[in-house]
Amino acid sequence: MKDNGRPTLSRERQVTLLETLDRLLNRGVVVAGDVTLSVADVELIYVGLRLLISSVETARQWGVRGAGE
Amino acid sequence: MESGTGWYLYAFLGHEDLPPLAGIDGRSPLGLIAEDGIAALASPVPLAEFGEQALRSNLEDPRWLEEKVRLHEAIVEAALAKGPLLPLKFGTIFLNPERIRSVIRKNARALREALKFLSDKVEWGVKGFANLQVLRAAVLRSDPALLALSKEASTKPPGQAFFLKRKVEEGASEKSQEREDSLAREALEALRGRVVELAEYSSILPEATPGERIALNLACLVRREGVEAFLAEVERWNQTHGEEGLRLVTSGPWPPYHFVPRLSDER
Repeated sequence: MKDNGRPTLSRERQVTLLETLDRLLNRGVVVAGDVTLSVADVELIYVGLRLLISSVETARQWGVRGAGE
Repeated sequence: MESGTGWYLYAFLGHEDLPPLAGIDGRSPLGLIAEDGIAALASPVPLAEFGEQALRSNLEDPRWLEEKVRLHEAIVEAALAKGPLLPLKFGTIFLNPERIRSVIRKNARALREALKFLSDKVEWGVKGFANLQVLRAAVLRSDPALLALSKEASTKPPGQAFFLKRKVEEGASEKSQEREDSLAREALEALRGRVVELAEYSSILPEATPGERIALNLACLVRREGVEAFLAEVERWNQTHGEEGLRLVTSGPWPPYHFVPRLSDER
């Protein structure tokens, strides 16, 4: 994604994204469905996400989705 | 690839008001699977996308994950606007709606009690961002032992000064970590009186940005009528302590993800 002149991921926006992930992936009512993320799945997702979110460019993309899509 | 349809679950509701949104697959309608006066908010999903194999590989695609996480959250928040609910963890999918009914039947009491307890409360997130540079500078400015060491270093020849300066650096790291911890404790205590319950948890990304660290990460259960006072307390903290190197940032209101009951296992 090219720089489209939009602001970078704001503090509040980044916090919200992190908080959303922290909540949905880790918390909430756990019910043993037929297809349910296991703890191991979530760990794997987190490893990937950590790398992704910590890169500024990706953080920007995550925050400013919509341009050119 | 798997074929067929599963049911993706978003939340247990104490009401039967459907939010005007499509499901997490982007097109299927939301529906309610009700039993014993409790409704599961759900929507059909194609197993080609949400089946066990497909889900595993889709989870590795951050774009897919982001889109679905946002949709899940949007649907739960829209439902929350219509009444109390218990949000489900992301990615809970049933192949047979009958099993959802049986989960509700087996847990009806716990679900009802939780819905009642949470009906007048919301979750807020509080992150405390520690500014490492500010903390360090404050410690170097005010700690008597470090000040004395620095002063001593300035009077010594280069060789000795080098070792003294290194001691100052090490001391500053230790002291600023202590200061960070104690500020985080103070902030937590300041908020405790304004919330019903607190949950501390570790964030996915503790090193938020270079030079900053999430020193405090809280989920707070707050009475709706107490939200204003709670936010004012956070603001007060930032005004009185924000310059000392720990700033609080709130987010919310959230569905009560951190304050839902554990259900007995179906299987």
